[in-house]
Amino acid sequence: MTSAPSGRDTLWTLARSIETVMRGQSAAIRKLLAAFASGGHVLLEDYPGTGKTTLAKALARSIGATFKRIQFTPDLLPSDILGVSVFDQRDHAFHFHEGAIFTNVLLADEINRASPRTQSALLEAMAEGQVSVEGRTLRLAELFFVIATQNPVEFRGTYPLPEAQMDRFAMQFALGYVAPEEEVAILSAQEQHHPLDDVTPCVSMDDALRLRRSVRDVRVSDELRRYAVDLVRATRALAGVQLGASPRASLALVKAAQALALLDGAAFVVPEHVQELAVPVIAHRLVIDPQARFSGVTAPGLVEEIVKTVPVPA
Amino acid sequence: MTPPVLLGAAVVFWGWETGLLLPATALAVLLEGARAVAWRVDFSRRDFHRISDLCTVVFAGSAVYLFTASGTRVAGAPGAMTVLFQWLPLLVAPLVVCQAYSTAGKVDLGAFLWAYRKKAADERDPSTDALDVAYPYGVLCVLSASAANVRTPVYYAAVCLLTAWALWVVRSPRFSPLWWVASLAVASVAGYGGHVALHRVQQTLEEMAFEYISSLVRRDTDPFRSATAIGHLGRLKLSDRILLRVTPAAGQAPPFLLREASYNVYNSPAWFAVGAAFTSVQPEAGGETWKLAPGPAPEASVGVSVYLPRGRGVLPLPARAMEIDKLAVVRLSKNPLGAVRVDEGLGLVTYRVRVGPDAPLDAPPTGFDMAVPAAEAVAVARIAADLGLAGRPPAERLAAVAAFFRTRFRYSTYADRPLGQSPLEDFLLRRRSGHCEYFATATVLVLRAAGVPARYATGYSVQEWSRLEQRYVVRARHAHSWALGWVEGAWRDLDTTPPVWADEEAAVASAFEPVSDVGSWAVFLFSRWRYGEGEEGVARYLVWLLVPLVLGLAWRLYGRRRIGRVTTEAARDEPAPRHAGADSEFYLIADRLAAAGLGRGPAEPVSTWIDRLEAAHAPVTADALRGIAELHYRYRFDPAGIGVDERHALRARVEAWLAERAGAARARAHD
Repeated sequence: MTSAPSGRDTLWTLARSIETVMRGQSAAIRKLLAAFASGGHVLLEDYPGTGKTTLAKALARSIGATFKRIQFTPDLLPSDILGVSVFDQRDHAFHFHEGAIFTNVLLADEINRASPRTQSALLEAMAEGQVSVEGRTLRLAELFFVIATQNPVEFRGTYPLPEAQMDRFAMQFALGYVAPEEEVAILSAQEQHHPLDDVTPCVSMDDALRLRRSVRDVRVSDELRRYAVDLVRATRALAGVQLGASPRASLALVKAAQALALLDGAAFVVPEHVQELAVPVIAHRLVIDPQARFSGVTAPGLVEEIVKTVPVPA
Repeated sequence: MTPPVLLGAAVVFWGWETGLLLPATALAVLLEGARAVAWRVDFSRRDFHRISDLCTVVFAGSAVYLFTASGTRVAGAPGAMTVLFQWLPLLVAPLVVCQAYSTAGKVDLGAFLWAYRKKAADERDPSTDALDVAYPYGVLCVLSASAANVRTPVYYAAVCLLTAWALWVVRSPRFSPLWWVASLAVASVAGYGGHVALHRVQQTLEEMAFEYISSLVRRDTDPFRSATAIGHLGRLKLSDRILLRVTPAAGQAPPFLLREASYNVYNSPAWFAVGAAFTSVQPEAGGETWKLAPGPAPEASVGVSVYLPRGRGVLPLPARAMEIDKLAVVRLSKNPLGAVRVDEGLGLVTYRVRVGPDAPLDAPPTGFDMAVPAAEAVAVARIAADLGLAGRPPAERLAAVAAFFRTRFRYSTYADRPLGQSPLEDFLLRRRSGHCEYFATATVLVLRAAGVPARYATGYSVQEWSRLEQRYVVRARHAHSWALGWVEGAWRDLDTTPPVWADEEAAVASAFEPVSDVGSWAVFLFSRWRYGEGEEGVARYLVWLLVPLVLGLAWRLYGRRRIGRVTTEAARDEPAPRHAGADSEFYLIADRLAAAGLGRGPAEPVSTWIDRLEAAHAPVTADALRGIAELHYRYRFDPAGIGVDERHALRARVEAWLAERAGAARARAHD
């Protein structure tokens, strides 16, 4: 069996490191690592206190990389994210002070609380790995990974992310509440101190970059590419859907499936990988018809239905 | 939806009336069977379009077939249009059946209108206008049943019953059913009365129209009555249309006359044939030779091609015709005045006429052939007296009359208002100019006044050689009339019209005549082909025409994607190309388990399937299965493929698994 040991080992090391902090969330960790390894950004949407921030921090601390966090508020300005030029009295010149976006891992907490103007400052950075400030184009670090979180229950004082921006996230998923036994274990683990403090960088920046390269070497058959496209295309002809998923969705689906295959130690993608990632990759990109939404139709439900009906190659 | 059994009943009624009971019953069962079965087929709009196209092609094919095959149809059979109309419910049945078994239950409007299809193709989100064709189809069945023309009251009763059936479902609950029945009964009776009255009105109108038209049309072939234009005012204009094509006998020089009929009683302005009942002529062996008179016929013959509208008409024949050869008609009859009529035949006939020494067709003169009407008696007697015909032999009388008309009269197609007297008297005594009908009528009457029995004959003068067709053509303007005189026990043609008449008629011919001649010739050639005048019938060629049609249909149906019973949009796309690893032995296991009711769902990945089997405590060794599935997956989904050894291992493990399962099954059977 030919595999990519270095990439796989990196992933496993990361997984183990995060699991010391996040108990009972192995499915979420799989998805997070698949997105990270495939170079996509992640949007976590869940209730407060389920460990969104902890998960992001655990990943960031496990990598020997810079980590920054922005707490999004309504009065946050684009310059707070991108950076600002400040006039230096001594040498009579403007000096650019980099914003929080110049980092390797960025946690954008409660992203839907900022104004659309500020949200869109993230857009270019996430899609193209570069920012334009004051007419200059500045490249971001090669390893640039955004974990954004948002709270689904509060609507007052929030600005829902526009569709275009939702599409920039490779995945959106929830953590959900853990099982009671796991919750007890969390309590006992945090009696003395937070396990997050024990997390030390176990993966170097180079390892992380090599990991991303090795994901591209995971083989995908044409049939599975077609299956991924079929799943995405099915959303475009669905009743109750105003806007189906874009080709960017199929692209992200295949890439994430490659990363997941690597995490599983496989050298090629199997249909299970595609199915596992269909909902987190596709669902958040759909715009549901208001009428359908009020009658209880949800995007994840629709994608699950598609996964259950589109014949899978076997 | 129509009420149960109504559509089936309409179809069976149609089959009963048209004699297509067997296909109708099958169709009715098929249509009504849709209510009994639970499944439906998810036809897309394009599927409906395709079915509708199929119906159109079948309809067009049937129309072509029926139209051409009707040339060789048997006696008493209905025409092509009628048969096509009768077949219509069968031809559109595919669409209705597909609707009955479709999930939509309606047919997209694009199936009927191209414009709709185009519109839908242009729009991203096309409207979904659809039509339930069930009721229209029922109406079509009833209408088509009428084409069978079974003239019994059953038809009307059945129509009333079917209508009542359909209306019963939608009757207003505000009124009692008794009211409903009563009003329906009134409507039915009123409808019947109206239909009878309408029929009467139509008959009356038809008679009036017939009289009006026959007074207008010059070329009528009524062997009992020949309306002349004597007394008409203004210029007489006849068309250039080619009516006959003639191949003369060897040595025969034009112009010569082809007679259609002769008449014996003149009652201005028409000639009538009295005592001219038709008797049927029996064909000789072979069916294409008709002897008009006993005795051997000479070899020399005149060939004639003539159109017979609706397969009926009087045949133009040369004088002294004895036998008609190669005439492919069903029924032929003749009358004592020399008219030979086809009662049932094809739209175009070509025949050869053998001519004998005397005129056996025409009966000897009777008292009618000597009568001069009172209105013209004075003028005619004066001419006869002036010519001094009395006492001279009949042959001389004929010559004298001919010379009289030739020298003293002019040909003219123009007529002025007559000066007081009858038009014929005016012609004889004053104007002395007119067209052939004046000449012929006057000649007949003068001959009669001179004691020579005479008749009035109509037909055609053959004189124009067509270089295009290499035969003589006879146009409508060559229609002619002349006199027959009884001389020495035989009827002789006596044409007293000045010979310049043909030139004068030709001088006013249309400038486009050569063009229309080419068209006429093409029509003639097509008609010959259509009516199978060649050695073979058309139907034989038609079979070959059908071959590309059938191939084309087959390609349309099977060459493209098949219609399947599917539920999702995604599955309706083109079938995936044959995938790698399709020959994996793992499918043997899958089939075996599916046969045992443990099959994999279409959207269920293999590992999920195995987990499910294990969770359900299915009698399978899940771990062994997982190992095999892993190899199978590598064979299937790894673009790099698997090695030969692993391929063998996959085969061996599957065989082992199957053997083990078979052994376990045997063991269970022994227990």
